[in-house]
Amino acid sequence: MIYELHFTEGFHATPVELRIADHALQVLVLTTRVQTGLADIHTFEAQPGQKAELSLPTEGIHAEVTLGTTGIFLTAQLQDGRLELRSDAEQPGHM
Amino acid sequence: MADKDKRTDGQPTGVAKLVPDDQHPDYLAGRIDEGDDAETGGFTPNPEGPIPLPPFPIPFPEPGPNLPIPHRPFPDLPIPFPFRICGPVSGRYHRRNPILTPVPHGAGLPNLPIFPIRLLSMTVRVDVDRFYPQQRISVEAFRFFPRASAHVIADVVSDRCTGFNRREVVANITYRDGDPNLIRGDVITFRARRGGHFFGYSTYSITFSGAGLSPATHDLDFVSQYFDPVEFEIDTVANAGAATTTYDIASHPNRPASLPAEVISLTSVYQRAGFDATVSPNASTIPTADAGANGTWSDAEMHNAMITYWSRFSNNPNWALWVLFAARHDQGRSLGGIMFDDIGPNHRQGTSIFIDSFIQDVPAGDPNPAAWRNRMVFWTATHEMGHAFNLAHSWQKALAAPYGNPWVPLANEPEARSFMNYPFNVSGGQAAFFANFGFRFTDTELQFMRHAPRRFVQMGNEVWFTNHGFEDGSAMPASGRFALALRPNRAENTYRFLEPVTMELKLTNSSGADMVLDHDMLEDGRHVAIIVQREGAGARQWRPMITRCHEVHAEKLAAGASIYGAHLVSADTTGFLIDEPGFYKVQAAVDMGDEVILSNVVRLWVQPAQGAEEGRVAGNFFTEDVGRILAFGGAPALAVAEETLRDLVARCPDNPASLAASVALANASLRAYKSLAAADGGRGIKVVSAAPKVAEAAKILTKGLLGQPGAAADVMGHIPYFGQLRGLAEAMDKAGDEAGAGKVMEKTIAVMKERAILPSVIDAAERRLKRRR
Repeated sequence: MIYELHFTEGFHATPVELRIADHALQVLVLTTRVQTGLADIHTFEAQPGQKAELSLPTEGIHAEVTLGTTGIFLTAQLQDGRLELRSDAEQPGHM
Repeated sequence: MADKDKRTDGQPTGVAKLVPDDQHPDYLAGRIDEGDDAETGGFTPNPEGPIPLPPFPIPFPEPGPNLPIPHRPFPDLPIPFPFRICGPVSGRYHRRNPILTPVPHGAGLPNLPIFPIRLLSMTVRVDVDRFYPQQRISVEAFRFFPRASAHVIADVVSDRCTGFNRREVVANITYRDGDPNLIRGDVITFRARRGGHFFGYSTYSITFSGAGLSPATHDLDFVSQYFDPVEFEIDTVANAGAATTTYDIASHPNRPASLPAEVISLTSVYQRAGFDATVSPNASTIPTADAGANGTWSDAEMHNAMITYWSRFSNNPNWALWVLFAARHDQGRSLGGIMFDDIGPNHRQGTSIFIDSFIQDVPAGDPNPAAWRNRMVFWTATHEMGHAFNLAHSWQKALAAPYGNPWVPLANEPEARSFMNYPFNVSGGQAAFFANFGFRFTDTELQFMRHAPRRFVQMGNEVWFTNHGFEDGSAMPASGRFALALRPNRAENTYRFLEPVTMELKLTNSSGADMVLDHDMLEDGRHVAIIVQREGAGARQWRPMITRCHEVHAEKLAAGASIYGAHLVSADTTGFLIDEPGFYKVQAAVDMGDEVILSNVVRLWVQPAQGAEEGRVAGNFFTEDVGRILAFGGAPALAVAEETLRDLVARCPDNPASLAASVALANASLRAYKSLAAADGGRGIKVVSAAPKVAEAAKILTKGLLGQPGAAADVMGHIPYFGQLRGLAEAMDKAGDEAGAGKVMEKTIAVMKERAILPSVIDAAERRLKRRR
């Protein structure tokens, strides 16, 4: 399935590593655009039941979520030193 | 509230249908205080909705000098008033300035009203009633000379109605920006009063007090019930359909029960936020092809469209905003709108709303999908426009570096029912949001929009007050101690194209008693400000080539006596201020320390170029380096500019500028000009002195200065002209040409007498001549 990952608040030239099922998929450097609260939208292919994991090498923090069949939209945000990653059935909107 | 949504271009657009202001629960129509002691304590904004109406039919008279009569008949006075009734006073006020009157400018020139500059301008925003009162008074002040600006915000602590339309509001200053000395004290008292036989307010004032200072009161003029004007231009892309500019609050059942059923508009939302919002009649329909081959919009494409289609685009600070309704952004359906303009030096001028995006996605089971969509598009448009007012998202209020900084410490408001919060992000989601959403901004947002320094809020703003004119010096309050005269010291204020313009300043002790001051203050470049304005263009402040920091030497200036100074005002450190044919106005001010004295305004005429040669020379002539040579009387290091002046002398020998040029070029040869040169293979520097060529220079200068002395004095101005002659005589003396020096001095004295120079100056010159004999 194709999943859509929205990186939202809290990133400023922040390196983020995306791993799927323990395999490194990509390293992104993200900066949130304040007027939309969005840093980037990244799509990737994976199978339901696999683990999607984000880690911030410079911060030493990470978050993970098990991919489902309905929640094809993922949202990641960095807030108060904590990385949140959640899945949603509805596409996140930005304005 | 006026309906300003109607466009004049015939395009379909929604029209607001608003309930009368005084029937809206968020509108405070004024104030009624009861009893003999009307003192009231502090209160929160609009604590219990609108104040009750008096027990007889009486409208609240609106402020304004032209609206003294209530709309409806008022019982004949006197009548016993059981209540103290005060109409609303919220709005924008300006400090009252002296009335400007035409002043004579001399023979041949019409008497025109003097262009207005405010030596001290002040804008006061009172925010205690009407929509969403914030109980704030903010004041922005700008002093022209010495240039300074300040902004304060004060929290209201007392608001009293002491009689029929007699209102007094007291507030404590809690925020300061800019020069702390410009707005002194820590307490603001705003007063509005009925005057004479009028029912409405007619006099307004503001008083600054506290902090141990004597109270300072300024009279005010009511300007508008709004705090600032703003114009929206709403353009649509051809495939985006009609712009959604209104919303019928009653159309969707999920809404606060207290909200009146009315059709609001983008303009009415911002009017209630305090802005005199209007819609531009110059709306455009933009071809879909402008989005490029992919049919969706990138930020750069929208920026280009803004530059192309927005009738008000100027890339300058303006209370104007371009709003685009388009189909879809390059990002796809997940972007409902964006304030895209973070490109270039002037941000926040343009926003877009994307119709083909998630904002059309109605939740399953919604009772009125069409109304839901309309509400969401309207909400998104208002939201994006809010970003253009520099409002952050509700959950970003405290966001600081590296993203930016809040203007004052703010707390995030993730649950706020505001146009700046995402409805679907609050607890309970969008249904919970709209069930309690009043179609308004929060108090902290309103405080920012209404009262923050305007450069923070205004679209595309850099600095405010960039273009201003002059105030008639004769209309300013007289100093009582000093008078400043500005004059060219020539018969006519007409100048040839290229001719340097020199102005003389005369500061007279008009106090009737001896005064003590620094006699160099007109010359040292630190105390004088001069403004030059070409009519039809902006005023520019002259910046002196030299600023002397010398020891203060206060000297006595007898009653009636004067000190003098002269400056080449056509050029300064930025180049030439007088570089085109046309009418110009020049005005000076001098800082006496405890007061600023304004001069008269000199209006002068610069003739068009006479002949092709003057036009050809002009391009090289109007440069900073040429200005430096003329101002300093020579600058051999500026070889290119010197060559330009030689070219001028050769091509335009009859232009007075040639005389000034030849004098400046020759003057450099009177002295052993020093320059710095590389030494030791570039590892050091050495001072190199050029050998003076006094005899050669004296021949040129004598011819230029004394061949036609009247013309030379006219071109150079009396003070520089006679200073130049004195320098010439001293250089000739020093070079051994005593006879020549004596002749120069004798002729100088003769010219002084012909031109009726001050006897004391002539006397000093004669004594110098006697001493050398």
